[in-house]
Amino acid sequence: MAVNVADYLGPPKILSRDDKLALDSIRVNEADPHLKIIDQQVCAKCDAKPCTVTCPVDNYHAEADGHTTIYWDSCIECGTCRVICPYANISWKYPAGGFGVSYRYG
Amino acid sequence: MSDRFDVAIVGAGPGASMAAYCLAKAGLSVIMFERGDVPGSKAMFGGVLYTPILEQFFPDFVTAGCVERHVIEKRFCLLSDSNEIAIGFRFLDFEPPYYNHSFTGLRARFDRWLAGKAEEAGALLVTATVVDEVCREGERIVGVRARREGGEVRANVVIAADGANSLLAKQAGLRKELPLTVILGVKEVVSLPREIIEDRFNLEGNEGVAIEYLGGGAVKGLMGAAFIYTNTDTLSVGYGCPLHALRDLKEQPHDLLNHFKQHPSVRRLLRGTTPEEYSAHLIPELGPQDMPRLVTDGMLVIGGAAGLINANPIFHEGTNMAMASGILAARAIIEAHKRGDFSAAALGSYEGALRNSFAWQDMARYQRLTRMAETHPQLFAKYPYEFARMAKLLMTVKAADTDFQIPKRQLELDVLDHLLADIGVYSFAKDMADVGRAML
Repeated sequence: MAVNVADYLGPPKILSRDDKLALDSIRVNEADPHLKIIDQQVCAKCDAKPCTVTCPVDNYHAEADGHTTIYWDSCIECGTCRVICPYANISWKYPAGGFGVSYRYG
Repeated sequence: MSDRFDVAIVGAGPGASMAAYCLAKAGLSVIMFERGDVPGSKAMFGGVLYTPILEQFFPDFVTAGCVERHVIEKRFCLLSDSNEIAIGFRFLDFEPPYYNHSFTGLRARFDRWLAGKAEEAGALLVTATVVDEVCREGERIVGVRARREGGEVRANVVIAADGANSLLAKQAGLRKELPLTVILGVKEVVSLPREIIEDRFNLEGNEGVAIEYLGGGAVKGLMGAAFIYTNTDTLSVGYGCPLHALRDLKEQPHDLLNHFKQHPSVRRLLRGTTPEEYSAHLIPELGPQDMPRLVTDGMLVIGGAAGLINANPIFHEGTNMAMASGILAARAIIEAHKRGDFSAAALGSYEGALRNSFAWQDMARYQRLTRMAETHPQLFAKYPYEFARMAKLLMTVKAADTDFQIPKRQLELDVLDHLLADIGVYSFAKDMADVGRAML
């Protein structure tokens, strides 16, 4: 079937964080969170909290009491949080084999 | 499965597969570990592949379905918030089938295909398996430990080919944590029918274009670069930016991608596209002080794990450098195998050969340039805006407060004024001299 140019003139689809993540295939290993905060007291004393503004899927949230919540089940395993944490306070390992993100394009 | 191999390779990316292919062809027993379900399923790059190595080993790669389009045009664009200055290089006289040895690609397809070649040559590929640790006897590395029951595998040589994060090289004590100069690459693959791509980007058949964007309109005043690459029936749209710059900007990286997609000049190229996948990955651009040790007793580091990336704005290369390092690692191991000596001294010819190759030399050269971009932020934050303003000043036909057009001589003087007053000829000349020195 011939492609109709007029069908492809609309503005590009701009997706929210959740809609971007919904495109990706992520197999979650509920039994084994692969990211953990080592010591929440360290987070409570960290003013900058760079993990909350550098994760490409916005998985790090600062709670009112200064603690950090990690939405590890939507991690795409880039490693940014581990590198950016000024206190090396994130225990970071790869999900077990076959778990985690699986790119179809890459 | 035997638990003893000549070589254990951790990773199944382009460098790993080239190493495995060469080693298996030379008759060595090779095991390759991939933590995803298939090679490439954890990988992401911009993506243009540079293919002289592929031609040498697999001359029919062009028709094997592992690459997308051959790049006939490279375009460099400076984006201010609402304007664009571009320069395009369109080379139409390179010969098929390899053209200028630049092909757009997607890692899920490419890595899987190349790992298949290593398997055909006799390498054993084990998927869905994470390797966390090396095994040691004294100081010597004698194998790896996979995260599974009875996962210890002995090998004379281990190749760390586990990419940007290379936790294995870190665990083995060959490298420190990555520095904040590493780049976060963020990308969407968006779909568009191939006829529309060819029409919109002025292409015929399998021709493709690689567009690089610099300037504040691309990554919000940051020293980063954005891109659009045409694949067969998708576009790769993304950007890369150093972590320290992202940290200081305090905006969500996924929003920055939306910001780029909505630039007035970019938006027009992306009309009618539908996002198919969102991905992010570290690009391990390291400073000389952060480079890992490449060789130790019983182990070599290759590819992204070794920081072999040339991430400057003009040439984005990495997979080709990884493949080169994989081949050079294999050659050193084959020699060591003949002598039965796998010490760092015996494997050291790898490092020498790598340092003599384009992969090392290009990386070292452009890392100096990148360091300079950090000490001269105006290169990204100021000049793109100023040049866009100057160009706009010169090209604007009717000024708001005139009835007729402004005489061109007056426009030229206004631009000159701007150059002298707002940019500063001396500071600009000094910055350009610094760039020149960094390139020497």
